[in-house]
Amino acid sequence: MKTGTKLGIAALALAVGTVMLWFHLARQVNLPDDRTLFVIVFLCAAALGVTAYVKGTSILGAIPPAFAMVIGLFLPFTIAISPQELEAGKVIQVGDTIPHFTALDDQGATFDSASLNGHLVLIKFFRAHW
Amino acid sequence: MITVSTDLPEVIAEDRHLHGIQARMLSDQQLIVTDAFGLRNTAYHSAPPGDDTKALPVPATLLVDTRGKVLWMDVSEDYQRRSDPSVVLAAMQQHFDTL
Repeated sequence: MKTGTKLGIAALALAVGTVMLWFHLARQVNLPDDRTLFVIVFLCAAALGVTAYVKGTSILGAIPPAFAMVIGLFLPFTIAISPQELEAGKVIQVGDTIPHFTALDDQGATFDSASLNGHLVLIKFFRAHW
Repeated sequence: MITVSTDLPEVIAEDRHLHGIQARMLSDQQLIVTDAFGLRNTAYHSAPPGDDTKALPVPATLLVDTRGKVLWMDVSEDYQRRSDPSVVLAAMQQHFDTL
């Protein structure tokens, strides 16, 4: 097996192993505040993938480093874009009354927030199913 | 309990059973409800191909009393970091159980 092929497989194993740990922690709502170590490991996996090509791989052996580079670069990208920002002065505050609103629910029925009067309510805003 | 996301109603309906959610789940693709609460994320927006949303809500949880007053809220500064569910449960015990 060519050196590059072995490196490529190692790169992919590192990337996949780290991503599996990542999603395991994410599912438990337990990703660390400081994800620097994750970024370093992912970038190492990507770098290992590049090194695999430099050393030379077989044709099939060219596939693992490609995946390693994609994973190794994509996750740090998501970390870089993860900070959220609100428009100051517009966000609702504790003590405010919630606005009246209507929306469609998942059955296509119209929901009117007036129906919440008299109830204790938990409202959860999330991004999307993905 | 109600949830708000930019998913279209049919997408929410498809995935709802996966998590056994009992809440009324609302579709807010145009961010009308999100903007009414001032919860639009104004930082970098990214979505998978095929998703048409121009922006997303900042992940947030609000506890509201019977007259519509916000008692407590938790807003994510980072979409990869959310409060542990125990934080929400503790807030519910603190704010709801005393009413």
